[in-house]
Parts: sequence; structure tokens; C-alpha cells
Amino acid sequence: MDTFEAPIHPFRRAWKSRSFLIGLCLASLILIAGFISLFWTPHAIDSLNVANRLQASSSQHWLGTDQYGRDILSMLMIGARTSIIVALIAVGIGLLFGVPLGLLAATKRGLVEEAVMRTNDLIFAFPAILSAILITALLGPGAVNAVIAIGIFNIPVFARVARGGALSLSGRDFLLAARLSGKSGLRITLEHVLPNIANLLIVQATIQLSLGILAEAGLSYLGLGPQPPLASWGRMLNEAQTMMAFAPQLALYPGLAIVVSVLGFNLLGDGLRDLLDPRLRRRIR
Amino acid sequence: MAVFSAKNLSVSINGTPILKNVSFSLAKGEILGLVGESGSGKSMSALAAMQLLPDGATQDGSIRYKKHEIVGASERTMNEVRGRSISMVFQEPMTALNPTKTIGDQVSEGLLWHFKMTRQRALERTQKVLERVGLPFDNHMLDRYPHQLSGGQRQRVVIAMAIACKPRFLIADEPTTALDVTIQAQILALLKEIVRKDQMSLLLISHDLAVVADMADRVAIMKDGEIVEHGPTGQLFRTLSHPYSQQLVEASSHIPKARTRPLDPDAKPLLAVEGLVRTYPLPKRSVFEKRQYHTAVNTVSLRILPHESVGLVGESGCGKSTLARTVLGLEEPTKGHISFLGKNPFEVSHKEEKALKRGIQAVFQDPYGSFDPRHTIAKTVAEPLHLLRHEISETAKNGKVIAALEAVGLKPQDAHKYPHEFSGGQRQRIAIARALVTEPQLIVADEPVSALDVSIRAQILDLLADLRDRLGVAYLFISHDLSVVQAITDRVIVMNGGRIVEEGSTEQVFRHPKHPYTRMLVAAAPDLNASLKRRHKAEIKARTARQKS
Repeated sequence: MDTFEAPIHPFRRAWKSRSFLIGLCLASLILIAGFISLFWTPHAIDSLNVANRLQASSSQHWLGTDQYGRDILSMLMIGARTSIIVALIAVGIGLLFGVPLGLLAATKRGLVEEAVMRTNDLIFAFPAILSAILITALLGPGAVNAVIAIGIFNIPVFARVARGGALSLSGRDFLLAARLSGKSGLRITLEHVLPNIANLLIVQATIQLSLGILAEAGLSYLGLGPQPPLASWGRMLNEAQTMMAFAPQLALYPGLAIVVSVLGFNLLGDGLRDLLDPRLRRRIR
Repeated sequence: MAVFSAKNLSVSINGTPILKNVSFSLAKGEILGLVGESGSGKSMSALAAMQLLPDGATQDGSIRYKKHEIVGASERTMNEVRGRSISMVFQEPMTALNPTKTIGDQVSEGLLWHFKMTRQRALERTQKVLERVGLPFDNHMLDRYPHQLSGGQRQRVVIAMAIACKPRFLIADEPTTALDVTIQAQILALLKEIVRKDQMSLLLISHDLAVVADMADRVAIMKDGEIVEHGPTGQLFRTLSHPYSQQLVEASSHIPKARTRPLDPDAKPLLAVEGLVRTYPLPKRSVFEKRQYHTAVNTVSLRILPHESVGLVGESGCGKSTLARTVLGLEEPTKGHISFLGKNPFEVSHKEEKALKRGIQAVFQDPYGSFDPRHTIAKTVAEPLHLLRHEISETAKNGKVIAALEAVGLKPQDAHKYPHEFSGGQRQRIAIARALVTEPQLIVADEPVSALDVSIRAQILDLLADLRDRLGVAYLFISHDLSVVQAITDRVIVMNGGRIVEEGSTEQVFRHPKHPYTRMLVAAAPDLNASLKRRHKAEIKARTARQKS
């Protein structure tokens, strides 16, 4: 049977895919925590209360407080929001620039394709995190620059996926039929190619989201990410470092949050791939 | 005693029955033809015989090779049997061969495994087997890779792999379906010769009745996992008793009704092509090399009259599809002139171009690849109406879509469904509806029935003939299948190597082919009635000889 014969409702099988379900739960946990932090956190975190510092878990502070007396649960919730926003915008940058470039390369072929793909290779050749550090070091630390740095490395990823997907469709008769209908290349791309590669892009976006969260944590650990008073997991880890000996929970909680979110979005991406990619569908029958 | 027999064999996959109580047997040196349409279970029978059933399959019944029971045999026993005693020739030689291994390695693999001979001895044997299947003798053949061979040569290699260990029972699953007719004739002759000489038993699986009638001693006709009729070939075709087998035979030699709308030979041609050349640049092997070009279409001229049906025949790579794409305006000619409705489609204004595009539409070969799986039928069929985008209203558009669907025998309700909800034949109807929606004068049909089962093929041919008379459309009908072209066209053009080698009325070209290539093509094309006649004559001859003695 045809590989592109995607059923219209792949989510009917969703409950059978364990990785999809676990991923969905973990990712939702992070997303909901971040979302709630927009309106409410258990405690405010922008005021220091040294008298309250390094408290253990209690009914007042569920996860205790840090060395400045800030509520850890509140910090984690705001950190979730920061990570997700940074990663989301970075994925958005990747989609916005990468997909058109990839589609352009696939439709124009020749020199255009060479130019796009070789530039991609060039960006790929640099280790992503290292170059992100370079960019934020040059432009100065901060949330915006972190987003730009991570976003740039998403562009070639999406360009590759889009080009590959478009090329696998290129011999299809329905594209010829569309050309016979007098449709322009751009129109055919928007009407036929893009909807047919949307699955691939959604899966890739989910995986890039988890990588983005990790990158944001890395940058803010080095002090190059979002600056205080905005909380971020990476900086929480950094600040916990000096306290490791007598308050290891300070490092444990943000570390766990990073693990849960990266694992969650990765599993979600894998699950989505199983559900949406018909070539792998046999695995979960 | 039977070399191989299956008795009450039933196979189901995940609870869905695929084979139901199938029984057949083959004596030494006998050829059994297994015929049926797609989904009839013929390939599954072959897989069961090799015990290569897919995951989730359960089986019941008995399969015997000589005295050994195969159903339920251990994988270890089967590894001894496969290749050594029972062997198989696959359909698609390109995927049946490993692209990263040499021919010599692939053919000798079975010898090394089954006979534990030295590599030197195995390669010597391999050389002999390759000669046996008619591959040219040279020392390099063993070192070649599959991509360096032609399609026919590759299939010879696949046969060589199958017969290397001298199995007693050979299975050939659609061994020539992927090949051109002239190559098909050679491969079938080779298979027959090998089986006769070495006294092998052959299970020949095919959808093509003509091929089976020509090759097999006995024939079994399958439908929905059951053998509906079987017997000695000549007798079976003379006294078909099951309605399905009658229908199958009728459909395979089906000729749609003759045209009722007469042609006007003096009319201005709808399409005129003069001296058309289309070349493609070949990749350069080094930077300094002068670029080489491949001429796909070489100085071709043709005319199509209003509501005339013209067939374009040739083997793969002869340039027929390139010609079709150029005529459709999908590719620009390198040289030459195309005139459609009196205008050159490559030199007209944008508005005129839209009008010309409305006048010529296409139906493609693959009923699965020609639709966007994410668009409804309504959206798919309405797509060419993009050419009328500022001229007609949304309601008029819907009206045209419904009319086109009804013209091809589909219901207006079908408009809201998606392509995957339809069978192959229905999809081809939808493709025709899409081509009809702009009311074109000419439809270019590139192998429109090649991917369809014979009974569906007959229906689509009827539909095309009916539309020709009812709507007065002209066809450029491209096919490698001579019987299809013969059934539906008024005039035939034969192409070979990018050039037209013969042109004339369909009857004249098929009855009295002039060009040697056309003669070869006509002779090689399998024909059910001709092979049954030949068989009948041979039977009578044998009987009289027996009576004399």
C-alpha cells in the first residue's frame, strides 16, 4: 500500500502508543505549570527573605526555599514558563525560516538548492550549544539573545526536513495534475506539498522543543540566558552548586524539571512520529 | 507421485482469512499456473509454500514437499529446504537483488550455504548457471553489480539464483510483470526451457491469463482466497464452468463497442506536432568533460484529429512519456513546434494559455499517486477549474464537479469522501472525472489501465469508449500493452528509441506490421486466443501421433 495513504484520524490509535501517552502527560505537566505561573504562584519570588532561607518542605513551602528564602515551587513554575517560551519562539524561528528555505531548495533544485543546503551544512558543522554561547557572549546575555541563538540552529533542521519531505513527494502525479490546472509553483507548494509534510514538521518541532529547553537550561546555567529576576532552571542549578553539600535538594528539583520536560517532549515527538508516520505504523498495531 | 502438494491450506492474518481450503499439487516436470486478480491470495500461496508468511499469520492444513510435511516445520529444517529443494523467482528484479553485492556473490550464496563447497568451486558453478540463463559469457559478469545490468538481465540473475542449487520445485511470482513485452517473451521462454530440461516443477503465479495459457500444463483460477476452478489448461479454457472464470476470460480479451461518432479525416487537426526534439543533460563525470545529452524524443511529428483516438506504443524508455509531458506543456521542447487548437502553447498570452490548458487534460497511470491524500474528491476533481477561477461562480463549479462525477459513473455523495476510501478502479474513474471537468477536447492518458485488474480494466476501457462517443473527446492513449491499445484506438504510433518507427490505422498496424520492431512487438505480446489455438493444435497433433503409433 502507499506510504502516503495517511488515515484522516490517526489519533484514534493514540491510546495504544505508550510513548505518546507518557510524553503527553509529562509535557502537559510542564506546560500547565508554566501556564498557571502567568497568573499565580504560591509565593512571590522577586523579594528576598533571608530569614526564611533553606527551609525544608512544609505546608507553606511545598518544596522548601533556597538560600535567599525564595519559594522553590514558584521558581520552578516560572522557570517552566521561561524555558517553554524561549524554546517555542526558537522553534518558531526555525519553522518560519527553515521550512520556506527547504521548500525553495526542493522546488528550484540546481544552484538554489546547493546554496541552501551547503549553508545548512555550514551551520550544522558548528556544535549548536557552543555557537549559541558564542552568539550570546557577543550580543550579551538575555532572553531575547538566547532565543535568537537557539532559533538559528533550528533553521537548518527544519530546512532539511522540509526539503526531504518535499522531494519524496516530487514524482507524484497529483503535483503534475495541479500543474495542468494552471497553478503556480507557490500555490502548489502551499496547497499540496505543505499539508502533506505537516506531519514531519510537527514531529520535528516537538523534538526541537525539547532540545530548545535543554539549550536554554545550558545557556542560563552559564549565565547567558534570561537574567534575574526572571527565574530559570539553568540558573537555579548554577546557584545550587555552592550549596550542594548541605542542601542538595536545591539542585535536585530544577534538575528533575529539566529531565522531565526533555523526556516528555522527546517521548511526545516519538509517539507522534509513530502515530503520524505511516511507514512506522506497523510497530504499534 | 507429486513433488509438491498443498492440501486444505488455510491462512489467516490477524484473524482475517486470506486463503481458504486451497489444495493443489504438482507432478515432476509439471507447470501449474495460478491466476487471479489482486487480493485473490496467489502470492500468499507462494509464501506459504516457502513458509515465509508475514507476522501474525496462522495456518492450517498440510503442505508436502515429496514426503516431508512443511507446515509447522522448524526454521532450521526450512533453511535446508529453501533454495535447495524449493526456490523462488520474485517479481521485481531490482528489489530482489542486493545492490551492494556482486552478481557472483549473490548467485553463489546458496551454493556456499547448501553444499559447503569452496568459494572457487562455487564461483565456477555460478559461471555455469549464469551461462545457463543466457547471460553473455565474460569474466566480468561475476564482478558486476545489479545496477550495471538491464532489467531483463537482472531477471535472468534472479532466475540463476533460484536454480543454482538445482531445486526440484520452483515458484515464480509474476516473474515478468515488471518487464517489457519483448523481454517478457524471452524470460518466459527461458523459464520453460529450464523447467522442461531439468524436469523441475514450476508454480507460475500471474495475473495475465495469456501468459499462463501459454506456459502452464494445468491452471488454477483463484478468487478471494479460494481456487474456484482448476484443470488441464486446454480443457479448462474450453469448458469454463465457474462464472468468475468466464468473466475473467471475457474481461481479458474485452473490446469496447466500436465508435458511433464518425471521424472527419479532413478536419483541421486538434494537435499537430512537428519535428519535436527533447533532450536532457546528463550528469558530468568530471568538471572538464563536455556535457553529454540524452535525446528522449527525436524529431517526432504527429497529428490528432478532433475526437480521434490515437495510441502511442513502445517499451519503457522509448520516449513516450516524455512526448506526453511535452504535449501537455509540462516540459518545453528543445526543438520543434507544437500546435494545439492552432496555437503554440509555449508562445501565447497568459489568457490564451489558460484556454489551451482547459482544452487538454491528462489521466495518469498510478491510481494511488495521482491524488493528494488530504484533499476530498470534490476538491480534487475541481482542481482544473482553477483555470476558470474568475469566470465561473462557486455554484457553477460545484455543478461541473457533480456532472463530471456522474459522467464517470460515480455518485454526487462521493464528492465528500477521501481518495483512500476508493478502490483502484474507482480512483481511475475519479482521475478521468478530473480530466473531464474543464470539458477538454483532448485527453492524454498515460498507461491509464496498466495498474488495474483485468475486470476493472474492461470497465474503464468501456467508460473511455463511451466518453469518446458521448462527449467527442480525442485521446492520446499511451501504453505498453498492445491489446489495450488495439481495443480502444483508431490509429497507432509505434515508438522506439525516441523515434516513431511506424504509424497507421490500428487494424493495419496490428494485422500487417511493416517495421521489424513492430513485428517483434506484436509477436511478443501475449495473446490468450492465439496461445489457446496453438495449444489446441499441439494437442491434436499429439493425439494423431499417438493413434498412429
